[in-house]
Amino acid sequence: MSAAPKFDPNANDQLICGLFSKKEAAQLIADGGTHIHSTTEGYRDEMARFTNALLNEKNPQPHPWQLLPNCREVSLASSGERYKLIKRATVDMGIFSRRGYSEKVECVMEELITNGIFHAYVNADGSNKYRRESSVKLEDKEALVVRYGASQEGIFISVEDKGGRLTLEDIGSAFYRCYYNPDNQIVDDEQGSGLGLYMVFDLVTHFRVDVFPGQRTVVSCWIAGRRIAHPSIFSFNFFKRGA
Amino acid sequence: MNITNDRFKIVRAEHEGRIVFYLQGDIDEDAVFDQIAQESGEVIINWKGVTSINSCGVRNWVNFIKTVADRTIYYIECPPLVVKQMNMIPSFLGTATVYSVYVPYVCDNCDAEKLVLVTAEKFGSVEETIQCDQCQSPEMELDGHPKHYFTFGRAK
Repeated sequence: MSAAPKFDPNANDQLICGLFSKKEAAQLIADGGTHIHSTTEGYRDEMARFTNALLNEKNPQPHPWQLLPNCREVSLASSGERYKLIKRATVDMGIFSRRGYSEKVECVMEELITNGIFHAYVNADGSNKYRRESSVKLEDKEALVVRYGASQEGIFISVEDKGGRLTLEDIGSAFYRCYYNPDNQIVDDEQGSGLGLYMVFDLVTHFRVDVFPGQRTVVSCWIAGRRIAHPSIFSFNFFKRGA
Repeated sequence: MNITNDRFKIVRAEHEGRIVFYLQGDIDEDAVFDQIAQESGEVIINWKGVTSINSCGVRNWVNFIKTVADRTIYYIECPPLVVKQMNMIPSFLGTATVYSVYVPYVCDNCDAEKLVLVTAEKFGSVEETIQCDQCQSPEMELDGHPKHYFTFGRAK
């Protein structure tokens, strides 16, 4: 495992390629890294080259793994409905009976959905609008959009909220705390500790966040199939639009 | 006595003179574990029936397990989803001792899956491949790397 390259926080949208662990990537993200690809191909890696091309566009297009044209799209406005949706998704994607795969997919969907429901919307004082202990019904205009699709190579999942509150700083500090300070992974507050996003990042192959501040956030993930997946092949991308 | 909500329950049972708490269902923001704390003496948690744990559930469990940290705690029959949590979130284990876990295998030939119960003395020496019961292929592989799967053992 090579040492993670040093990130220059003064350079915006810098693509970092190397071969490192997710823990090392967490350090880069905490330092302000927005586009990180761990790959054996370096900057020649197909996904890294795609990211590089996206960095020169004002409105970055989906990565090829996002499977948007052939995925299902479901609206979700109630925390209690999510269990049914997640089970249905595993059936739709043909992985319901494959325990290992479906558990991973269920965990990722669950965390992205609960993150959207409980942390995307705030009161005027900045506190979370919806409490985690309760059964939550979102307003119609706040409904999440859940997308999922499967191919021979893996599973695509994305969850879109209408809050647009997620920041790179939130993600970076959560990842850093969870990877580097395991005794402090659980923060006893109501604001959300980022534990769920850490769990998702740890499980998936590609992790991408598109934030339209104050409007919406889309978190997209790709879970490579068992035969393809390798713990050192992954990416993290954070796009902030309209900034 | 059982405590239940729609998706999660705890069943208390006596097994060979020892009290075992069987956790069953989804551990999420609504899961409460107070019933376990009411029992004195050692705490044995059987995780076999747990079907999912989200981050809110992890938080609830970690906060609960701290309240019984002075007791002797055993985790038994931990399925892979619980092992993943112990590996990702060391405080999920707290001061507990893991007595047994299920190790997942997947057949490269026919995609069949199998869980094999392994006790603590064999954590360092699990088989990386076994024979598939369905297609008899000898290539049923451990789903993951053995060292990664037993990371929780090194964290202790």
